[in-house]
Amino acid sequence: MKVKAVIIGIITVAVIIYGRQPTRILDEISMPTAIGYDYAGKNKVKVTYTSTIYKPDKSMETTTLSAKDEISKETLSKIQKKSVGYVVTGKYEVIVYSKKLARHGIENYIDTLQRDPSISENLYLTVVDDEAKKILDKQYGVEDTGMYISKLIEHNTENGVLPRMNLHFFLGDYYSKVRDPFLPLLEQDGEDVNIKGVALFKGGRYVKTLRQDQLFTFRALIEKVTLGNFKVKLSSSEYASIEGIRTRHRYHVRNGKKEPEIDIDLYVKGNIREYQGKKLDERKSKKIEKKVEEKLEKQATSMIRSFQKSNIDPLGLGRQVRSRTRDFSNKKWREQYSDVKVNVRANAIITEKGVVDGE
Amino acid sequence: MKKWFRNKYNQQVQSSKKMSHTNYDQQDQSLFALINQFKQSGDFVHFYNPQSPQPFWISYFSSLIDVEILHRDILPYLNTIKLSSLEELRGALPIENIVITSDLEIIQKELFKGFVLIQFNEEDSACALVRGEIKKVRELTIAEEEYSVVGPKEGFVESLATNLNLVRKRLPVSQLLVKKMEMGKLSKTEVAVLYLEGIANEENVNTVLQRLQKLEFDQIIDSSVIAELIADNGNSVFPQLMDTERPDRVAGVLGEGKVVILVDGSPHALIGPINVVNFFSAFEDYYMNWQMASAFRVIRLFAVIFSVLVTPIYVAIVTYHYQLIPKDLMVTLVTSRRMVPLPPILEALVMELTIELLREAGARLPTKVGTTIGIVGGIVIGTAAVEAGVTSNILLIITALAALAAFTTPIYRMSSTIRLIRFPFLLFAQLWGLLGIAVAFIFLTTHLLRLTSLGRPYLEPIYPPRLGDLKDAFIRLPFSWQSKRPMFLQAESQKRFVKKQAKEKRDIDE
Amino acid sequence: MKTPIKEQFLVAPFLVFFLVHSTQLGVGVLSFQRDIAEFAGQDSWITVIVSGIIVHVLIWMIYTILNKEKSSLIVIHQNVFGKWLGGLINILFILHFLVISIVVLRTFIEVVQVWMFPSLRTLPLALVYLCSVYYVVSSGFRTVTGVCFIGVIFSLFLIVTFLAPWEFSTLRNLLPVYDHSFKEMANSIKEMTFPFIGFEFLLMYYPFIQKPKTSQKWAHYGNLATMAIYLILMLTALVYFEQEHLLRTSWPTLTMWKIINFSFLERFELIGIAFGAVVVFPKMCLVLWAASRATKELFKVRQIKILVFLLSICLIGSCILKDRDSIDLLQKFVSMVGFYLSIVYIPILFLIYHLRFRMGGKR
Repeated sequence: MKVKAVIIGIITVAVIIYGRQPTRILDEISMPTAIGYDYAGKNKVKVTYTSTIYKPDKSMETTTLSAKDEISKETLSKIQKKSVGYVVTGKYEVIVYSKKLARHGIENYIDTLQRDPSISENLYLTVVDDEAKKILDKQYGVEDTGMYISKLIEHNTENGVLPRMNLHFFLGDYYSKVRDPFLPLLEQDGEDVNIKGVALFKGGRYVKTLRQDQLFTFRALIEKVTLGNFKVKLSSSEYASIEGIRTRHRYHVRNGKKEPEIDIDLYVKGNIREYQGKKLDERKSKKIEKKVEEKLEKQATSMIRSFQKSNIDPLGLGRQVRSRTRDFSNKKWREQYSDVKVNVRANAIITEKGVVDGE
Repeated sequence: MKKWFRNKYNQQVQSSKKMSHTNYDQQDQSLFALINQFKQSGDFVHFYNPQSPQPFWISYFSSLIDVEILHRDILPYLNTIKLSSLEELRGALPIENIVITSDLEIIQKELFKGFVLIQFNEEDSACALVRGEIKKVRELTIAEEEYSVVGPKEGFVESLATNLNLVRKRLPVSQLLVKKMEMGKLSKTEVAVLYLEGIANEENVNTVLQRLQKLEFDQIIDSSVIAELIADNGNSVFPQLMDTERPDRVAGVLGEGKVVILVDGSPHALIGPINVVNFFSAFEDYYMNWQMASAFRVIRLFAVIFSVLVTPIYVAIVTYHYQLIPKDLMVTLVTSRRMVPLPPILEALVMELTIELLREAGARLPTKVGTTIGIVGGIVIGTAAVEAGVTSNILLIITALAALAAFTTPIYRMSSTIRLIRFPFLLFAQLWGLLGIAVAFIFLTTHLLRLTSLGRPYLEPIYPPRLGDLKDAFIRLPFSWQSKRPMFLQAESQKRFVKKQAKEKRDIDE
Repeated sequence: MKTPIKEQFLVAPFLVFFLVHSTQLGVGVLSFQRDIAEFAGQDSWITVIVSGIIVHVLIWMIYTILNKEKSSLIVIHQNVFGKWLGGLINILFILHFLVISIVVLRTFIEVVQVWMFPSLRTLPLALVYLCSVYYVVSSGFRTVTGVCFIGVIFSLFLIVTFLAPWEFSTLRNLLPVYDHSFKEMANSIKEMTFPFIGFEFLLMYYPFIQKPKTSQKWAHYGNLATMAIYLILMLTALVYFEQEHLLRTSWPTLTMWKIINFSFLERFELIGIAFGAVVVFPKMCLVLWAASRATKELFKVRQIKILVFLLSICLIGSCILKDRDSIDLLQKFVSMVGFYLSIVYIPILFLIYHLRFRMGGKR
């Protein structure tokens, strides 16, 4: 009995002495939420960490700290020297890359995001038109900068503008041989942040931008849109805005082994919410449907053509072909990609015209 | 005092036995000596009445007998009737069971029970012993520890006879057996073991009887002493016998086939064998309809889990796992912690101890003061602690809720256990965060798996899993479904009633 | 030779379900997807099913032997191969059990070190963990079974959490079905044996089952449940990750948990690891129980003493393994030995046993 007590005592002491862990007490650490990466010369990067200090009276203050180095994690240890609390990586919400850096390639700065287990998979990666530090230096509204931008993207993803993007999707596309990644492109618009469009990547390198007005078509080709918004011009004075759009797409691949040919069917359903023009009757709504189809087909075809020209595949056409082809060869597909024939057929239905009848 | 007294007497008996071959009158002298011995105690009365038709000596402990009985039922008769022998007392006094003996052992024992000793001559070896014990018993009151809103309210009191009466009148059947024994070298406590023959498992009954017989202890002051002494694992913080002050609960569990121990002088009955789930069922559950009872049982279960885990989880997350906190909650937590100089573990310990203090102070003080202390202390200390920045208000809410949740457990002993096991969890949470909580959980589960109550698994019906017993565990299904006694008890007769009749269904309009 | 176990130490036949299931689920759950997908790609789920069926056959073989012999592996070996050769094989098995326990413990601690506490040393956690194993095993097989049971109940709740990644998944990733060569599939099946290892402990605890013959169906159900869990995890990983991404992820299960996001809680993987401690624990207990029991039967020594000895070896062993590479090496080794000892050896034992038995019958 005595021996047992002694053994238990020794084990307890040993565990307490050797098992103690450095604490990360909530109010003693500094939790950056938005990180900005700027180009700072060849192979050098300037990293800006934005964190918020919450005061006991529930007000808050945003602080930014920057450091330059070759390796992005190294900047963190430089930041530690300037920070009051221990800087932790677990609460990153948004990463902002400047366009210039993105053009040089962000491959080197992605590794740490994946390797560090405390970084969230729900993290948003973004590209900013201007300098990243500039956009992070500002405080937007009453919120923390990182949270502000992440909420901005989140809301736009849920309500119909942006296709779904986060670290998980980016990494998937980045490593995939049959898809290329894309990120939201932000710009600073006075006191606000605006989503300018989507930045398309080839691997880790920024290639080109997709403008905001093309986003709906882009999104419809990637996923099911549930709350879309689309504008058509009937004539110089007649416009119609279609809301609550639900889309569906279907890919058909023919002759996948040798020379693949892809047919894309797009099905669009929506309600008219605003109409500028004369009478909105049966004939008119048929015309609107037709116009929608035309516009979608035209946009989609030219979009895909331009993707093929730049040899990028953000739509994941390669994946569509691969999943329908046995013994698929990545290499062969890469070679074929720019010449693959893609046909888009759109099919639009107007279901409701709102609570006003006729005129 | 008593011990010394008894030792001296023993010595005397022994020495007198040694002398027995020399003095044939030894017995007589010894009773005389015994009385002289008793006379040293101030509450022993020994007097002679030469005035009555038959002069007599009378002796008793004034602290044990009812003077009313003496004056009304004994002295008037002795003073008026002419008696020629002690035997005639049986016809003369209106009291049953008059003992006439010269056995010193018996005389001493009965005197201490509150009997009156009558002799005709001071040197006589034989004497008559007449019952006259005082019955000072607290009146039946409402069961306070296990109060229920609906259903019977009366609770046990400190008298075995009254308690037996409360049980017997609920189970007026011949199968209800009461096995009595006397325990405690000094206290000489009467202990009764109750069970229903033919329903309770023989093995369980024998285990209880055996353990009680083997027991050696000087004072059995309350049933909880027995509970601790006959527990399967005396080092466990978990109660392995349930104590209740509700006669209806006792009658109920006897019907299930459990064994009950009643102790004289204790208002608590002990029930065994018991499993951990039983502790979370209030007896009131059987007085409400089954949907409500089930819902409250589930709430109680969650309350227990919540109560044990919530403060440790707070400590774990705030100390180590800041990542777990969603962004919207972060602001609230950080602002509330910002002013607090203590690390979360100390903060939590201070709060937990404060609540324990309040509870302890409230329990030790008279009810009215206690309530005031509770409210004033709770509000004043709580608010002041937050304002002074000793603790964060989130933690204040959490600990208060946890304390509240612990008290939903109907059995007081279990709710104390629950409050206690929170502390090891807290320490493990401080050591290794959530992982520490998991490790503590492993230890707790293993401990519960190892525990037995009177040799039956403590964690039943969870493990060993018995679906049949789950009908009355975390939820209570309707009575008509519970046609069988719990498998856990291995009752001699499993069936409670015929299932078919209870379940018979009528057709429409019939 | 045979010492029938006392009635009060036996467990009900249906508990075999939990015993089989919980010994198969180990730390492999957290990482097996990648190793399989390396060979079989999007067809990995077929691998899981095929391996599951193979294990079913093996369980059937084990039962045909056990139902005749009604004793543990140690006695069977000595009966079949004689005292010396049988003893040698027995020692091999005991060592195998011991190494399994080291690998399980060390990989779990590694997960903790990578995901939760980067500066945590191996010793204290291993010490605490092994103490609780001692606490369980020293109180006998019934408690071991109880721990298995509770571990399984806990893991049931975790299955629900794997619905969350489906929100972020692409079903197309599963197509085209069966696009790999036979050799690739065979390799992946071989790789898949490690997560299924654990059923062979039946050979040790069979004498502890009440009416053991009736327990066979429960053993099969247990294996079926394991297969179902692996299948769910495999499919979830396949649709959640792009293939190339999956091959770069060391612990796909944990990475999948990272995406779970409740309004009151983010980053489920930390909770998952804490639950993992409870889920991995039964395997440790049963393996060490089996190892100590086997040694007891073989050398006729007191089990409690040998248990302490084995636990200290386990402690030392797990502390020696310092880094990812050495752990990986040992894991590969155990995986290989496990493959030969259970997948290859058991059919051989089956054949030899039945040949001998038939010959013995003739004599």
